[in-house]
Amino acid sequence: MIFINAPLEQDKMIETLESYNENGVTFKLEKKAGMKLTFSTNMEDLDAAAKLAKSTIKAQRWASVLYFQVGVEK
Amino acid sequence: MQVIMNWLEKYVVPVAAKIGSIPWLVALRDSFIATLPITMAGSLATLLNALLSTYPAQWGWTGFVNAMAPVIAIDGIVGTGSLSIFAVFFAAMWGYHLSTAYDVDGVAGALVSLSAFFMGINSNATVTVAKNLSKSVSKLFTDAGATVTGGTVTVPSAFAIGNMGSASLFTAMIFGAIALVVYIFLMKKDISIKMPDTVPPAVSKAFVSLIPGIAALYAVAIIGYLFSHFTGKNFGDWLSATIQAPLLHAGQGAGMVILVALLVQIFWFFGIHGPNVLAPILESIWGTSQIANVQAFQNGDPLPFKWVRGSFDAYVWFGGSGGTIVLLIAILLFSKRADEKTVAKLAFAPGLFNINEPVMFGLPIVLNAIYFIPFIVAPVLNTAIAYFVTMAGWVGPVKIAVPWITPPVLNALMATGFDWRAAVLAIVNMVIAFFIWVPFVMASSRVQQDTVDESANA
Repeated sequence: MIFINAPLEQDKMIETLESYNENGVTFKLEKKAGMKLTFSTNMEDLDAAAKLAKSTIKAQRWASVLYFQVGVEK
Repeated sequence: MQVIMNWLEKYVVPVAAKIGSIPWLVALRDSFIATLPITMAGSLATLLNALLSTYPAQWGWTGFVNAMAPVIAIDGIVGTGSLSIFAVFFAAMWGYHLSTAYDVDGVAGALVSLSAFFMGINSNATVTVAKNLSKSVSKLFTDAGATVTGGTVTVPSAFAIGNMGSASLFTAMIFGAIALVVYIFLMKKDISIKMPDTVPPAVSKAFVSLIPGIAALYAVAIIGYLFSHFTGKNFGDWLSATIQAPLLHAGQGAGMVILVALLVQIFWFFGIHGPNVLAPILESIWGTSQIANVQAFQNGDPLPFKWVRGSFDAYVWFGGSGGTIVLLIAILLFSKRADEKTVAKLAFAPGLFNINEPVMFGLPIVLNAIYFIPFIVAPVLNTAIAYFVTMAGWVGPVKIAVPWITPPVLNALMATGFDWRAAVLAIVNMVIAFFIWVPFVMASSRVQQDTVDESANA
């Protein structure tokens, strides 16, 4: 599992990750608690999944100025 | 809180995102960032020369200074080739980043911008050599092609190094912008010479930018010529005096400095990258002022500015934006919450290097109503104190660019060229911030205790 701490634009982040479909990689929202979003992914390397999630969101025009944290759920 | 968040998402985030994605502003920000190796190399040279030459000379260590002469000479070479001609590097980066932002050839864009910059600055180097020159000496200069007015010699077709530093940054921005508008427009319109596929890619690429590049540079040259023809002034000199100087001067006002500190904190609290959104202003005004200070320090001249970009890092953003290192200390000393103490312990080491993401989201501070007031008030008060102390001359201005990851206090010390008063000011600000944070740390413990008690009674 990976998590995203984001106070703003959570719905857009969920939509962006759940619609991600490249190289067979998928993300699925598992839990939403306050500003924390938890996603499951079929990537084995969770650190790489967190990096991919962050770069995918950061690439969106609306996310360029957002401050959020992406990490691996332990 | 949800109402505020919805309002922010509807009105603030789109505007901030729009500002943050305007190619011109993004390119401006990225151009300043790209010049980091240059500013750091120049600052290191300045710092080393301060340690090996300026201060030892003041203490009368002539032997030491003489022994260090080769190192001092090397530092001088580094300084001259970096910060002293900073605008040259900026012009190239400006052209590169703006061109790539519009998906056109960045290398050619960099060259166009660079050439436009040199067209903008005064190509007559003026040197005042004496009060008045004798006729025979004047003749020597005039025979060599120079013009002599009193004791001032003007050498034509010679770019003065003083015109390539921070004083000409706005010339680089504006002349580059004019040239790049033409260049990018023509590139986008595909007005170019196409070479057959058999021609090597490097040659073909150069030909693609041929017409746009020539047109852009002629446009700049014509504008510069017309301006000079009708006003009798050099356009670049006029820009520096009429636009850059007043803008940088405005950045020395208390209102603007405190407003920026306040906005950064508000943006952070709601999850918007404040320095990122405000980077074009932060770097254009206070970043430029900082480079001017470093250059002046390097040359042994009086410092032109008191509050610069590094002043925020030295006196306000210790441990990261919000001065969160003192919050961590307050938590470790006064918090009764195990979760906050755990985060504080984990976040302390990165916090020493001004990385505070673990605190911002770990405690969290972002959207945490309890910590809203100290997170806003402490940095703003610290900014105000540091600003007035610096303006009063009780602490020397920042004159060396220090990497932002430099630990608190040491940052202030190094940035001011080892002014011990700067370290004291940083410590005083940290103590003040600490006392602002403490009641809220205690309140946070009490809130959790009340929540636990209520759960137990339920």
